Amino acid sequence: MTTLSAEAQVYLLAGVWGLLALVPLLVSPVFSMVGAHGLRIDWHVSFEAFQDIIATGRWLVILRTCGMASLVTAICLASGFPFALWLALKARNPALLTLVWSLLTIPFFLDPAARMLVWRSVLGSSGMINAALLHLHAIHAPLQWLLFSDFAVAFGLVGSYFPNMVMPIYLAISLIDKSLLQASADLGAPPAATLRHVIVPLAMPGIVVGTIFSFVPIMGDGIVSNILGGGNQAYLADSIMALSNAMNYSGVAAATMCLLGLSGFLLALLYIAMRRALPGNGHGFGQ
Amino acid sequence: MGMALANNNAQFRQAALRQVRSQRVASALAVCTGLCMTALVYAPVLWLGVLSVSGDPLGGFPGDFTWRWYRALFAQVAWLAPLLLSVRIALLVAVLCMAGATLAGRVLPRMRRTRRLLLACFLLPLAIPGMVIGLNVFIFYRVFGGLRMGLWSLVLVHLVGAFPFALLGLMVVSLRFETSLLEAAADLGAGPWRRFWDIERPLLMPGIVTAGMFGFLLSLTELPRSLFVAGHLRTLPLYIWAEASSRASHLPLIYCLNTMLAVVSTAISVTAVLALRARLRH
Repeated sequence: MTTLSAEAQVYLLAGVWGLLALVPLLVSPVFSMVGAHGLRIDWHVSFEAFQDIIATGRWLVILRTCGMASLVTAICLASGFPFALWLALKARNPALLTLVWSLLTIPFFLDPAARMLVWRSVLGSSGMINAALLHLHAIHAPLQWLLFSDFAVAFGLVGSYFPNMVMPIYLAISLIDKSLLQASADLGAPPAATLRHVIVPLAMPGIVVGTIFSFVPIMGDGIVSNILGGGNQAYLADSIMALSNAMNYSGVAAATMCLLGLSGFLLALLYIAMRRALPGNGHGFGQ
Repeated sequence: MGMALANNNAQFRQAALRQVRSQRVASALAVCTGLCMTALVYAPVLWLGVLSVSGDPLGGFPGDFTWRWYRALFAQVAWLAPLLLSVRIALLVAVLCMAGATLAGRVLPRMRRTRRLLLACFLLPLAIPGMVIGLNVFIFYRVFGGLRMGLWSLVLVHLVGAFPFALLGLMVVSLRFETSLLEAAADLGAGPWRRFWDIERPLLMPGIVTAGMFGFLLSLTELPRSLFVAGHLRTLPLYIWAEASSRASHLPLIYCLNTMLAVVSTAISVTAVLALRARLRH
């Protein structure tokens, strides 16, 4: 401990972290571009795995997944931003604040499969909602689209990733210097103008982080789609799992690269669009 | 002139009132959506508890409340070995998270030039889906190391998933740390170890505890990363996953098991949040 300076220790830790945790992530780019048979590699450049994605129609699955992830992220953002705003600026009661904070933290520590399993018994054809609707004579036959459908997947995903969106935005807004908001009001800006010209630009890092933390994991979530989607390989994660079970690892790597590349591309687009839409070219970045 | 001023004043007051009213409506709307979404997050967890004491949890309505499924769960022990394995891994991950987060988190706020790069490198896994990490770790070590998956690979992927959160938890505390205390201690002749043990350790303790709890809980409930690197081992979430997808008749027992797991997780995370907030208020 005394022989290494504190900073040297951090570099050492980062080095070990990089070797053990980050280097394995290079598997995806490498495996997607060499001819691999199972776990054996032939070292020559080949884009067969990517061609397979087009030939087998997997690109449609990828598009569907993108659509679903965008929809769920948009729902989370639209409902999460106002909530985070209220939480950071209006909620004065510390006990309430602690309660909401705990409520938003706890879901990170719950078994993801368990929560989705429960929805089956609620949404299923003999589940609670159908039983109730049948009992009330609102419907004559159980609603089939409630479970094993896109609706069920969207429903499960929104419930799973809402906290990922709210937490970073809440943190970003609560770090804004409150005297700026007062100054804006004193200068005669109506609340809407303060929101648009002061709060949103300063909260932008939180919005970007929240969007990344929900969009990217949603793109790769195989658990919700497996349990609520019925597992007919409708989404990219199901596809990746099936490819892995078939030991087609170059296929896995190519699909993963598409996932990461598309996520990065869409998030970059979103980032640019947001900067364009904001006055003052996004102050609050890089500070 | 006086009339106009009074008129103006009244108009101004009305506009202000309208503004306050619309702000109230917006606030109420925001709270409503937020609480609805939070309810959506929690409904399945609470429902899990209801179903676990319900006589026919697979039918439409819960009812005929009974402890039968809990008794059945405790009558068999198939879940005990996965639970013990999960706890063992979680404890290991918790210790590693505490040590690593303390080591990096106390110094990172003080590093000027490389702070961003290092932080990005530690937080990178947050932006990669869990399943992708699990698969990549499996392929990498299997192909380039020829290694068989086992305890080490489970600990590794859990650590990759949990460490960024642990580091963030610690940095919530360490970002507010008064570095002048360390300079004062150095001026008084305290060595690096003494400075760490007598000053930083006690002041950062809530963050260190939080890092450990994050590590423990995230590892205990980790599923997507574990799916591919478990080898022949079975953690509790893997056991639940396999049982749920293979035998529907076991579902009531799974509900009980998950309810207990949720209660334990909730208790530990509430403690962590309370510890962090208590420190933030000072």
